[in-house]
Amino acid sequence: MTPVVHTAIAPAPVPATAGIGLRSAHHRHVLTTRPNTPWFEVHTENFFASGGPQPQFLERVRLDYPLSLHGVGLSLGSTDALDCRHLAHLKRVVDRFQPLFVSEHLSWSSIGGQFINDLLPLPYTEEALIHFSDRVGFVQDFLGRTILIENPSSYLAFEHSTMPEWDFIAALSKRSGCDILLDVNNIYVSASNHGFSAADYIAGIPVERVREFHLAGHSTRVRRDGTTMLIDTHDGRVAEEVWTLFEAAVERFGARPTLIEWDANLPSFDVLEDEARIADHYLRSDHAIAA
Amino acid sequence: MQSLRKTQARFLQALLDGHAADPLQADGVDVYRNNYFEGHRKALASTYPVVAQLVGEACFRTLAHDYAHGFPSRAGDLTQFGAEFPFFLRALYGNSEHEYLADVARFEWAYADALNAADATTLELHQLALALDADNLTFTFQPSTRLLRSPFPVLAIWQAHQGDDEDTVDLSAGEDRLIIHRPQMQVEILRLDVAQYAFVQELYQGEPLAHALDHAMSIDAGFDLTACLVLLITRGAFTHCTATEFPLDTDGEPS
Repeated sequence: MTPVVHTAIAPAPVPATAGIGLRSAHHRHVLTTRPNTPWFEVHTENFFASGGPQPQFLERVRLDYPLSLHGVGLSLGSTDALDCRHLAHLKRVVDRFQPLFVSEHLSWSSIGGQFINDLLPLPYTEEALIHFSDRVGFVQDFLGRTILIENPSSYLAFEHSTMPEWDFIAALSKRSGCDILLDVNNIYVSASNHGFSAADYIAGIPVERVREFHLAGHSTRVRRDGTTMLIDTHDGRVAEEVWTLFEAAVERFGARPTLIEWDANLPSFDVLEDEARIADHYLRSDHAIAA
Repeated sequence: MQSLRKTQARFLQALLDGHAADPLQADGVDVYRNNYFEGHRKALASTYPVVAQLVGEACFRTLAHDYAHGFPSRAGDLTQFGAEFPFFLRALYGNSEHEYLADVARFEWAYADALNAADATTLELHQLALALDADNLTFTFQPSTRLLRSPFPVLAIWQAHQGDDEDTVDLSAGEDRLIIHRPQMQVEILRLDVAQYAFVQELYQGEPLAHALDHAMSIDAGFDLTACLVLLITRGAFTHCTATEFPLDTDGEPS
């Protein structure tokens, strides 16, 4: 007879259903009501603390749910040296919580030791590709696992870029071996802001590398010239046009774990569950086709 | 073609100055500039909610903006952002009627810092009883322990801003001597008198019990050692105590 071993935290797969980005305003709700959300994702840096209620909370969540760790602060694209302190924290959190996914952004956030703590855009050049691939490779070696890189939303583009973002990401995954977290709202926002085709973007991303989708709400702002700019504010429901793009993404890449992100003007948890149900509807459509 | 490093240095400068080299990019730079100052204002306000209430929203916005310029974030997570805010406020408001703000900020930083400090076990009363007859007993405090002394009643000010209705606090109500620590999952505050605080300071610096007691007695001949130790232990101030087998010389090294 094989003994049944109960470990406190064993790696659990993230199912190809819609999970929810867990924010501190909902911590108590999740612990007390134990919603049937299939998986959660959190911002890695929020759990860097040595002790106290934050890591204790995540430990309790992790006992019952698969988890994904989404980093916002590693500054992978920066030409400063990687921050060893940040890397050490990251490794400690990854080792402790055994997430299925560890992700970061195609962006930079620091230069000369000063951190902007935002996801700043890169020029898409050969130099940036080599630099970013090397950094991803280093982090993957350090953590001993593959990481996912997410496409950013952006509000300006560099004239000296030599390739479109999707070619850069495809080349990055090939060069570094990283997987891709495709944020469908970000594709929509950047396509609108920079005037490229979202369909071209999706067609240019290698199918086998996409492991996760993100969905979120955006808002609009009027430019000086009267045209409209889209801002990735994560403060509302997913836009109709983004659901349409999501449908196209699911058709090309198949059903993948999909996250509902909502960070500002956070509603009650049931609104997030409602968004997740809509996402699940699109994900199941794919199963129906596949069957 | 400009190098990636040069591109990044120029981008940062444009973001901080609010000036885009290319006017067509000005709207984009605005978005990143706004994200930067708003993000850092929110981070500072979440660490210093009482200071934010005391000075009001508009003033806090200006303070946060100036602070981010002078003491920018040095890490990819924002937990250490704001560490110098008490000094920033002291430089700004020292020797004015708003001098107390820097001490309220010191309190809030200690509180936030204690919340994220390492967890540890607590020393129980019966464990102390076993060790009490040893010479040169030293105590280890919770990793979260922060000692704070202020000429202002910072604890009362902080408490007055925890609920919806704000009480008025008399700034001349006296000094505060506090232990801010987290024995379990919640940060707790212990208010001490002059001799108790002197006693705790000595112990915290690693001085043996007998030395700390002498020091406290020199301040207040009526210092009650038992009452003070029971208070500290029942409130979970220590993780353990150590009986040193050899007498210590003046440098604190075993002789």
